[in-house]
Amino acid sequence: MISLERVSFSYGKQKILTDVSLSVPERSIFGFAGPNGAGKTTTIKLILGLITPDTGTIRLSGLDLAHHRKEVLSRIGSLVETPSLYPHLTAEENLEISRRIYGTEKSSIDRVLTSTGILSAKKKKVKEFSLGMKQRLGIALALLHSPSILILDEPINGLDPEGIQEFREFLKNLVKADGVTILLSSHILSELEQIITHAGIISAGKIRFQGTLDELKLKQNGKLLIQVSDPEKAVSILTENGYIPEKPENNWLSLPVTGQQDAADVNALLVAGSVSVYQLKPEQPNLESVFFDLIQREVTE
Amino acid sequence: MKLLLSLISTEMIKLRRTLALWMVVIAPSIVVLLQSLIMLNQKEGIGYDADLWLMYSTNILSIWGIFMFPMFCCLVVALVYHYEHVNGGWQRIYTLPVPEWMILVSKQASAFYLLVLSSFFLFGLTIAGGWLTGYFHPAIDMPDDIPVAEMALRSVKVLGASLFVFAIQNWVSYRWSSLSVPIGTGIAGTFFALFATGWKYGYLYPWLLSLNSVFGNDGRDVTALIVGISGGLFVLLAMVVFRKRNS
Repeated sequence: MISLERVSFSYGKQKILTDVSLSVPERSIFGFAGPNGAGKTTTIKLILGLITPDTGTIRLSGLDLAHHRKEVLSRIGSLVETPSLYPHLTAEENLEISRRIYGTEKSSIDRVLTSTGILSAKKKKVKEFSLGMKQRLGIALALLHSPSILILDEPINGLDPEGIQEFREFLKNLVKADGVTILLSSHILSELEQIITHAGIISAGKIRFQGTLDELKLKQNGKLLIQVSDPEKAVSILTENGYIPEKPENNWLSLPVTGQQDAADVNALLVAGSVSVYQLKPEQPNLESVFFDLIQREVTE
Repeated sequence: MKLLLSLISTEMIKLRRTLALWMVVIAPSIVVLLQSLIMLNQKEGIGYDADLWLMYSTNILSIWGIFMFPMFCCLVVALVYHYEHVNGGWQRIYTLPVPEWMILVSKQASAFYLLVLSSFFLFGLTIAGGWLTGYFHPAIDMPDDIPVAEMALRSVKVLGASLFVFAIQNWVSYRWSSLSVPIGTGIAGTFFALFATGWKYGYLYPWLLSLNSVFGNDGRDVTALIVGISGGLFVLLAMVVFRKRNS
């Protein structure tokens, strides 16, 4: 649906993206993550045609953006960084501006205001909106022309927990009911994890990973949390036996492991060394830890 | 064409409840009011044989052309672009499925539309103001026969020759995101016009073109008009061809 092939981009002499290849499958919610300055927003701006790549090709629905800009953009709804709104105009007037350009029905304004939950603020000036309401209006603008691709850069910013929950359901429903493909970037990785079906991780202008969420989680080994009677002695025993335990907190140790057998071996070692083991808990990797692990690995390498 | 008209209509929506729109009425009103007060203050009337309507409208056009119009133009044009600079509007506009050149043309057209509108107001207010001045001043008898064609031609010339200043303000307002740059350009341009009048080729100074297009002697009026229109069109076209902005 969205594909970037060996795309590179520089600002002057500063290389921002190097040979970025990315493929966002149809009807997926693709989480695009990376630390600040990694190239997320630049990638999104390239996909939206706001900037042009030095090399490489960008295709949306099979159409080359460089040669079919108008057709491609008519299929995309986007919200990049903060919503671009005119504060002295009402929500309705802000939407009317886009409606006239897309040539959609008058009723589309009420439709998107209803679906984003701000219909009651239709006649209210945007300067009186809270940050969360502005964000909702930004999303309403992106959805006005019923796009088949939705690109959202940090859309959760400014939403309260209830709003985030609603937003998650809203996006899932968009994919389910309307078959929309969503590219979503956010630094709140725990929020991405609950929405996305696919993920891409970018760091220092290079794609470090792309695939399904499960494939991403497989990238990182689990951890074992162990509650013991004597943490310092336990650290010493484990270190002598080639394990690398993290600094203990209270009576708990955290230990990277590769499989179930490790848990049994660690338990046996500690018991043999006269350390009582109260609890052994496997810790499942979440997107946040996988992400940091991937980035950390890149830095180390 | 339909898409361009839609874009221009969206620019009109953006101007709702803005100072730019109010200025279309306020700026000509101030000039007409000022000239009417000057005439009403002359207790003995004009005191010499003159075509009162042409004299009255000439004075108004002079104040308008040399001072009020350049300032009004710089403010209105700056505001038309400023709403995009401050609200990240360019980013949104350029993701719309419209040709990029059309976006700029719609901005230029909508800003020019405001100038045309203000010129119409000025023309209408000149007639209304002249009539009221004659009505209230016992010694000033404005003739019933108003030289509408001559007055209209002069207004059109002033507007046409102002195209160069309008284009400069467009380019500056688009290129720089800070409102102070176009406003500063407008003030500086108007201020230096005072000095340019004494220079041999001063009549070609962009901020003096509108005045010279009506009152220039020895063919300077035609030259000023041609330079104003062609210079303006050149800058506006170059702006669209070499799109580059700093925001």
